[in-house]
Amino acid sequence: MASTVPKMFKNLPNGRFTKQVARLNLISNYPSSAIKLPSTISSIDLIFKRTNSAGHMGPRKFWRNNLPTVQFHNPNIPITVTRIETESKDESEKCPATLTINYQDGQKKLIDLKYKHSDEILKEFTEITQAQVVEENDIPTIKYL
Amino acid sequence: MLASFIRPVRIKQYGCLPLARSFSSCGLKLAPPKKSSVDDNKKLQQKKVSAQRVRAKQSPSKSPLYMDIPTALRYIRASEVGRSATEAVITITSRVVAERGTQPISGSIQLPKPLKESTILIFTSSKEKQEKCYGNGAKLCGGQELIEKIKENEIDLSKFDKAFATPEMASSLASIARTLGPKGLMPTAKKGTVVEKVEDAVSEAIGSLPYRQRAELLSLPIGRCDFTDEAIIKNIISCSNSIKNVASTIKSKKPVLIGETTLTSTHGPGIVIDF
Repeated sequence: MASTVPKMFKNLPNGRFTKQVARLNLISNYPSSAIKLPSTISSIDLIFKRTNSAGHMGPRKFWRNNLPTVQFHNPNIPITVTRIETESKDESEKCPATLTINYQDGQKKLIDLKYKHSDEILKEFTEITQAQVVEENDIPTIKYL
Repeated sequence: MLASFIRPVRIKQYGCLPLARSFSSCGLKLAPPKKSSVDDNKKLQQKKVSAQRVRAKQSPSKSPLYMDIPTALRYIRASEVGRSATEAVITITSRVVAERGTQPISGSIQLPKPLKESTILIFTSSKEKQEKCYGNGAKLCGGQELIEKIKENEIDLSKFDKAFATPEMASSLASIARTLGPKGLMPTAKKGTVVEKVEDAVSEAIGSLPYRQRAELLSLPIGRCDFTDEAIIKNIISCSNSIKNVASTIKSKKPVLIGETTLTSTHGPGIVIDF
């Protein structure tokens, strides 16, 4: 009988070890998200709604897929995620979806994330922060079989 | 005359009957009795256990998921990105290899950096001791009147994770054993929770973390993602010492082994570590 519980991570292989290794490698190297942020950045805040409607799916996917890899390569930069609970449709429309980059000198940069795909968000984020792409050889990967 | 006439005829009739048997016979031989499935199961179980013992003795670095603790924590912290500190709890899970029917591993440890302070319930009739217990950090103290309250379901027992009693209360506790027992709150002399000096027991138990083996696994929370690497490693070491100590004191034919140990978190992957 197929389980009715939705999988936390889809499209992973079925083997006991291959599944785990694939999951670990996705943390260290999600496609094109292995970036090293400059040391002038002090913290990153992400704000979006709890539900997908009104263009909030992109930020959610960005958080679930890309952000672990960004955190993995920048372990000293605190990243906070705030998800807002909205009650009415009006509120949902007004709810902002933003990514704030806080610099050590108090400067702030904002990116609006509404109605954007996670890949688009990542591209914009990399451009604005002038982050360097980590070389393929420097990314730790686990090999199995 | 008549008889002599009949006889030759009869001989002729049976003339073909052989004088010696042309076949041999022996006692009945049936198929060997089938082995009962219970025996088979036992053998399979033994085989499984012995294979587990071999695996438990192997170095954890042979696993494809092995990492040293700081690297493992880097992966775990990355997977917990954006979660609140109270949500992202780091746990260790150990496989216990023991023969069936062996007493499960259970005990408690005082972590160098505890996750939260434990709430303690005290049964004692002397007012003096109650005050001392409150002073040492107990959440609720009481005598006979507390037992009556628990009988009438006036107290939410799920809030408490430890209970102590003084010897004079032990006999009256039997009436509420059925409500305390399943929650692991029933004080007994065997567990060392019925003691004369409850106030000392409270100060010992504050910040201590009880653990208990479930099926073949023993798992306990040892930190949060916002702890430093050093604090988590110290917690793991104290855990390891305590669990191995308890395992060595359990009586069984073969020593109880602690097998593969994984470090994991609420949303994170499981990573094999040295333990």
